[in-house]
Amino acid sequence: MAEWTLSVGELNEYVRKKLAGDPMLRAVRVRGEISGFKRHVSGHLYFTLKDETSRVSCAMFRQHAVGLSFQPADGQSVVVTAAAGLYPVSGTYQLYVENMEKDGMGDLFEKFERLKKKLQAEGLFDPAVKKPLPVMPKTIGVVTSRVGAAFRDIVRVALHRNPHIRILIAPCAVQGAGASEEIARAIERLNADGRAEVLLVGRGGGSMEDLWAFNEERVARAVFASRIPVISCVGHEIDFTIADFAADARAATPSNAAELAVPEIAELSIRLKQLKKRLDSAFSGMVSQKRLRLEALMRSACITNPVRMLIDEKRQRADHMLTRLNGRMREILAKKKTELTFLNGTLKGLDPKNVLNRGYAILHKDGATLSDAVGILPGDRLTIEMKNNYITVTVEDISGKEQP
Amino acid sequence: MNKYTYEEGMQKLETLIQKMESGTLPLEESFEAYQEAVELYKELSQMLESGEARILEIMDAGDKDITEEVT
Repeated sequence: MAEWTLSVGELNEYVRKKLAGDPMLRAVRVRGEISGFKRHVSGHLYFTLKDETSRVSCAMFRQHAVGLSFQPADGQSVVVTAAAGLYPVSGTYQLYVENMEKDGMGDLFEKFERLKKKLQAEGLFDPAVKKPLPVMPKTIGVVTSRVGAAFRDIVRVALHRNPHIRILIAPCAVQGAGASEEIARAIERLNADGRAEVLLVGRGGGSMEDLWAFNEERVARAVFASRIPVISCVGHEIDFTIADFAADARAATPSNAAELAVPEIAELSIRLKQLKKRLDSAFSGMVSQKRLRLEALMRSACITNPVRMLIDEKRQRADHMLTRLNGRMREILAKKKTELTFLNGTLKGLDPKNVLNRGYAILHKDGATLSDAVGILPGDRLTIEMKNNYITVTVEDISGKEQP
Repeated sequence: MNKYTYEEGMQKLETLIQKMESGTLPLEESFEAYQEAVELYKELSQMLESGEARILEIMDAGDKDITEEVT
């Protein structure tokens, strides 16, 4: 055996390399209780993780610590994800923590999966029992916090799409102890009220713990029992809750839920008007088709049908129907005729010959009608037209007229 | 309150129009269908435009109008 003598530094460096080269120690999950927690002014966190028999030092650098969703403290049970490494200065090894979550989250996931399986087996998520959403609800119900952004978003979107909408809010806590009971009761309250045609149940984004109330069995059962169709909208796109599975429809966010529940009135209006156009053209098409058929029937019935009675009857019916069809035409014609008579009277009033009846005369020169004396010279011959006669005269003098 | 929902009305209107378009209806019935369809159209348009926006808080104790607070 060779006799090697190492410096302390060399030894520590050797061990450090050994540790760093171990793939398992590069990313290891460790559960333990925090003790000796210190937050350095630099933002780095230092603490010890311990269980009943052992302890290990931990460092969590600032860039990782800023992402924490909770305030670590002594006595908390946590799970860290870390790399194990040697700290050469003291010769001790420690955990370089990259992520830390409160212990119990793992339990939550398990609980989630267990409940999901149970309710699925009971048929609460069965697509066949999902209720269709109403096309044009006049009243929507909202189950969320009265003060949250979710409610404001829903109101804004819903009113924008339909300025006549009625919104019923059944306020409830959406996180914390008792929230699931409040959510369920709010759903039941709106069902008892009965006016809402669709319910929007949810809240804005948050941590898994914040959203947890929507994973409780009580809420899932209330959603399932609702006679009114339910749209769930919990958190963001990525968040799925038990309530989402039990709901009749799932929206990614509260705003999306409002879009799903409330159709744009302007759009519906356009569709309705298109239908009216189709109705009108169907009617005029029908009328002309009937008329053609009636005319054909009349011709064929008169000429070819040997059974007299049948001919007469068909003819009578045809006559009757044609009369009905033509009735409206005649009305229009009569109206047009009245209009024409009236127009004729107006035209007559404009006829210059009418003026002669009232004692006025018209001057002609060389067949043209004169309206002033421009170009007329003494000695010119003019013709005066009166009601019954023409008089030919010679011009003696032309003078201007004083302007009134 | 209407005797039918908006979607029921739309469906009925569509059916009436389809019947008229098929050209198989007797004259009398065609007129009736047309009249019914026009009436339906008027009612549906009215359904779209009627009603005033209201936001109500539903509590166990009763409703509270909060339209002004929210909008």
